[in-house]
Amino acid sequence: MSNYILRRVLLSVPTLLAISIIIFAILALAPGDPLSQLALNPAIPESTRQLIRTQFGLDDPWPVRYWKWLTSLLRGDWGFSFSSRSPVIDIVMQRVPQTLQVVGFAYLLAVVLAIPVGILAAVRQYSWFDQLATVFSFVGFSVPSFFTGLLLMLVFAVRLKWFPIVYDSLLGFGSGAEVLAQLRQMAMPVTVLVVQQTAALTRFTRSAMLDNLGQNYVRTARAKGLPYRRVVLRHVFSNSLIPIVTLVALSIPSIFGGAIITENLFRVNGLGALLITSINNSDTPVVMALSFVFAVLMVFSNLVADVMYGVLDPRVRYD
Amino acid sequence: MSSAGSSGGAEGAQPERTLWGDTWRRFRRHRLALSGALILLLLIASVVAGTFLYPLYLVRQLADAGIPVTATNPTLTSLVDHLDYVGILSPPSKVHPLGADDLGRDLLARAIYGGRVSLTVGLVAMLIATSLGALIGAVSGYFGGLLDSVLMRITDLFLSLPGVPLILLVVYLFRDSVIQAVGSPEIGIFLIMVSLIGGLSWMETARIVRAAFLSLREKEFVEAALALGADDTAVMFRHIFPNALGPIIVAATLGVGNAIITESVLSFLGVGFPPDTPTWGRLVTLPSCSGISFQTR
Repeated sequence: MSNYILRRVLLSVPTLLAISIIIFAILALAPGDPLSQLALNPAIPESTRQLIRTQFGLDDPWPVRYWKWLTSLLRGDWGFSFSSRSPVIDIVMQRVPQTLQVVGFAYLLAVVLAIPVGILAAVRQYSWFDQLATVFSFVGFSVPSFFTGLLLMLVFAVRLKWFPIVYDSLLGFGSGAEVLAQLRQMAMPVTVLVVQQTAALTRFTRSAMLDNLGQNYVRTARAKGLPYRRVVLRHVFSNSLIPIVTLVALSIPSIFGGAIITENLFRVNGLGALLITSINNSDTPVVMALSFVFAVLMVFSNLVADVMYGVLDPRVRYD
Repeated sequence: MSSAGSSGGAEGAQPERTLWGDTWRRFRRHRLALSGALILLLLIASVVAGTFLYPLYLVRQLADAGIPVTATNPTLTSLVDHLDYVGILSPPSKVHPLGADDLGRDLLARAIYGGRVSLTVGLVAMLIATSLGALIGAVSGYFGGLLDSVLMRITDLFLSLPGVPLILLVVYLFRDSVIQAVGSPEIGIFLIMVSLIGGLSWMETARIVRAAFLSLREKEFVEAALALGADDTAVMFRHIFPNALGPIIVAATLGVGNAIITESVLSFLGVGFPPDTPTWGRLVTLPSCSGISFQTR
C-alpha cells in the first residue's frame, strides 16, 4: 500500500514538470512585453527599462528562464510580481483565505447535502422526491453559474436588499455582528457554487446507490433479518462510496476553476479574481504561479482519488 | 433486432441493414438522447429560419412605428447594430418581441445572431474534440503496446491541465496576433476559441473510444475482415468504428453544450468575442454590465 502511494507520488512529479513547462512556454512564447506598462511611463527612460530587463533576466532564452524559475521555486522563492512590486507568494497567500472561506465552505455544504439526497432518491426511486431531485440537478447542470449568480443578485441584492452585492474582505470574525455580516456576504456566492456541485454529486450518488441496491448481498442481508435502513446505510452505502469519493476528490480542481467565475461575479477577491487581474496586467510571475497552483491542485486530487480507491476497496490490487 | 420467424423465405422482403443503419436504430431507441438531439436540431432550425425571416418582420415593424431603417438593404447582420432610440430598454412589445437593450438594439435579432455564433462555436469545437479523441482512442486501442501507453500518458497529462485558467491565458496572450494574422477580430477569436475548447476536451472521447476498441478488436468480425485482406485503416474505421459510435455520439452531444457554456464563460470574463458581437453568453451577461433590468427603468 505505502509502496503504491509512494509510486503514485513519484509519478505525479513528471506530470507537474510537464504541465509547468507547457504553461511557461505559452507565457514565454506569447507576444507582448511584461514591461509594457513601464513603457507608458515617461519618467522611466529606455536605458532603465533595459536595465530592469537584464535584472529580471527577461532577455535569456525561455528554457534558461524556466530552469531559473524552477530552481527558485524549489527554494521557496516564487518570484516577484511586476505590477504590485511584492513577492508573488505574499500576494497569493493574501488571497487564499477568501477563496477557502467561500469555495471550501460551499464544497463541504455541497457534499453534505448531495449524499443524503442521492441516497434517498435512490431508495425511493421514481418517487416525487426522486423526480424533484432529478429536475433540480438538471437545472444545476445546464444553467451556467454566472446566470444563477446574476439572478440571485437581481432578486436578493438589488430588489430585496438582503445581501450585499460587493464582498468585503476586510471583515473579520471578531464579534457576533461581524460573523453575521460574513455569513450574509457569503450566502449568494456559496449558493451558486452549491447548486452546481450538488447537481453532479446527487446524480452520481443516486446512480452508485442504484447499482448496488440490486445486488445479491442486499437480499442476503435482508434475508438475515437486518432492518432495511441498516442494510442501506451500512452495506449499500459503503460500497457506493468508492465512485462517490472518486468524484468528490476529482471535482476539487473544477470547483476552484468554477470559482473563477463566481469570485469575479460577486467581487470576492480570492485566487480566481487574482488570476483575472494578473492576466489583464500581463503580470507573468503571478499568472505562472497561479496556473501552477491550479495544476498542483489537479494532480493532487487525482492522487487522492487513486489512493482512496484502494483504501475503500480492498479488492484493488497494487501492482 | 428484427423480429424472429421471418427468416428464410422472407429474405428478399427485408430491407438491407447497414452498420450505420444499426447505429441509427440503437440511437433512436435511446429516448433521452433522441430528445436532446431534437432540441438541438430545433434550435439550429429556428436560428437558420430567423436569419432569413426575422429581418423582414423587424424592418416592417420599425417602419410601421415611424422609425424606418435607413440602411438600403437590411440583413440580420446590419439589424443587430441598428439603434432604435425610441425603444431603448423597452420591455417585450410588438416591435421588439424580446425587448431592446440599453442602446435600443433589438434583442431577438441579437439572440438569433448570437445563436449563430454560439452554435457554430459549439458544433465546430465538438467536431474537433470528437475527431481528435476518436482518432487517438482508435489508434491507442487498436495497436496497443508502446504507442498505447504513450498516447494514454499524453491523455492523462491533458486531463491534469487546468482548463479554464489555461484557456483564459492563451486567449488573452495570443488574441491580438491571431486577429492580425487573420484580419478580422470575429474570425480570429472564433478560430482561437474553437481550437482551444476542442483541443482541451478530446480526452473523454479518447478514453471511451479506446475502451470500445480494446474489446471490439478481439471480436470475430475483425478477424474475418482481416482474413478478407482489409488493411488496418479499413478495419479501424469501416468495421470497428461504427460499432463504437453510440457512446461517441453521447459524448459529442454533451460536448456541444459544454463548448457553448465555455464560450459564454469567456465572454462573461471579458476575454471572448469582441464586446459588440452578440453571443448567447454575452447576452446573458449584459444586465451585469449595465446593472439594469426592464422594470427598474
